Amino acid sequence: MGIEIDQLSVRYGTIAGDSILAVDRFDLSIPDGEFVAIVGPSGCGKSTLLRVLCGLMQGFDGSARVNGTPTGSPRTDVGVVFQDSRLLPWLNVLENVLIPIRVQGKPRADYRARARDLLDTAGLKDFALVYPNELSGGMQQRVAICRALVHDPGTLLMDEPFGALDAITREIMNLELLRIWGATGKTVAFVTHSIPEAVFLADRVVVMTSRPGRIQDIVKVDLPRPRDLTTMSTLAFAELSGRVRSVLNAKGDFH
Amino acid sequence: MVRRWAINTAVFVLFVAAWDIAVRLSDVQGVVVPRPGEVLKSIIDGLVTRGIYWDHIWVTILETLAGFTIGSAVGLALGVLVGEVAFLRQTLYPYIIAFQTIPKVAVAPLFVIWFGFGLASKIAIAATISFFPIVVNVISGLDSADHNRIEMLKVFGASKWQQFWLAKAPSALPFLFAGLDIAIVLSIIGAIVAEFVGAQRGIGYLIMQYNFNLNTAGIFALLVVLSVIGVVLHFVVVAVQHRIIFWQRS
Repeated sequence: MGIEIDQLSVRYGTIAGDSILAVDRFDLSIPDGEFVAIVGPSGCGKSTLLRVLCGLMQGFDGSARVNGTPTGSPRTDVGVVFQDSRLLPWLNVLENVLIPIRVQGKPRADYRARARDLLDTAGLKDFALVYPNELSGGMQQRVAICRALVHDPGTLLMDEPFGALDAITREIMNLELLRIWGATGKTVAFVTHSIPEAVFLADRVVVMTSRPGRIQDIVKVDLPRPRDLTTMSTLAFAELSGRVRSVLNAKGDFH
Repeated sequence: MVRRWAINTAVFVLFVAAWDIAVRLSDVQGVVVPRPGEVLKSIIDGLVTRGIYWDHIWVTILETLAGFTIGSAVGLALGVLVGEVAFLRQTLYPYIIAFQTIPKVAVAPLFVIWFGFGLASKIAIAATISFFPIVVNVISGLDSADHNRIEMLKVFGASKWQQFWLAKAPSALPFLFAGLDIAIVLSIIGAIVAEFVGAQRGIGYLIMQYNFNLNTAGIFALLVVLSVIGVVLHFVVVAVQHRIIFWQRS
């Protein structure tokens, strides 16, 4: 169960007519409840990988399974967080969180309490009836995380979810995410281009190389949990970050 | 706020004074260009003393609103169909563009032949003329929907229908209202032109009557009435827009 990726290759056609190999024979197995971060330079195919997992891409080689079933079409057992919050400005925060429930045809009334609990956990207790344009970027992204969790999916797919946030907000969001993850025990695939973020959050860090996207190495992060901001100033944290960085630099294409 | 009002009033007073002085100083006759005082006298006479404008005003407003409503409803429906159904976009859109290039007022005489001298021909012209900006704006509005939001809905399992109602239709609303704002003013033009061609009532009819009698002050008075109607209808559209598209208010 969890996520099983087996010899996955993805090609893109370009406007010029040739094809680019975005992901090349990618193998990864993420057991239930594990937090895996995927780091790599821009254009290494890490977002493509996530698009395959959340069912937005067809026509790839190899296989990708989430919770035992092959990907290829949108599915209700994953929660996705994008780089931008993608909230609907015409719905209030609570209605935005309930979007998965609404589109999956489940009774919204049954999930309203759960949605409010999630907002509460995310520190947005008093903002349920506010509209997205009235929230800061960090708050909008927290709403997006609640939206990804409201239908209680087993798997959370996150594509650089905090990339657009400032450094301070980003640290707070990392802590929040760990807290939520600790409370819910989801399987998480988390794409980022920040090495400290990857090491701080994950059980394992998958380091990718670009063009074509391949796994360069997988670094196991054995830092004790629960982790907090003091974790980042430990020697073990620095060593692990350094190891991830050296793997990236070995290929010489990380900027 | 008070300052802005003061400036606006001053500009208006200056404009009227300049108009009055220009007519006095030149040897243009009152029949050609009336003085502001005469126009005001005509307005008071038409609206208050004899009150003969009201009947015509209601007729023109009725034609305008009926034409606007029909034109917008048909325009909205066709815009959604053409915008959302690929086959219809391919087959119908070129005709819509082609028809749009015809000056609609040029078909007014034809509509009077088809629909008679009564209200129907005026409503038909107003509807035809207000229909096109709605169709075109609705199509662009649907196209403007953010692709990322639609992708988000897709990921969570939304059907095409849900993607339409949750993401595309709200995105199209600002465009729809921009179209409605154009359409309401065009409807007035349509109604007036149709009344020029052949009518027994309405502001356009009255303007033609005054034209024959060389009552230019009366014509000016009716132009003022028309622009007031236009401004009021424009503000009604804007007010409704602000209520509905609340998320765009800053």
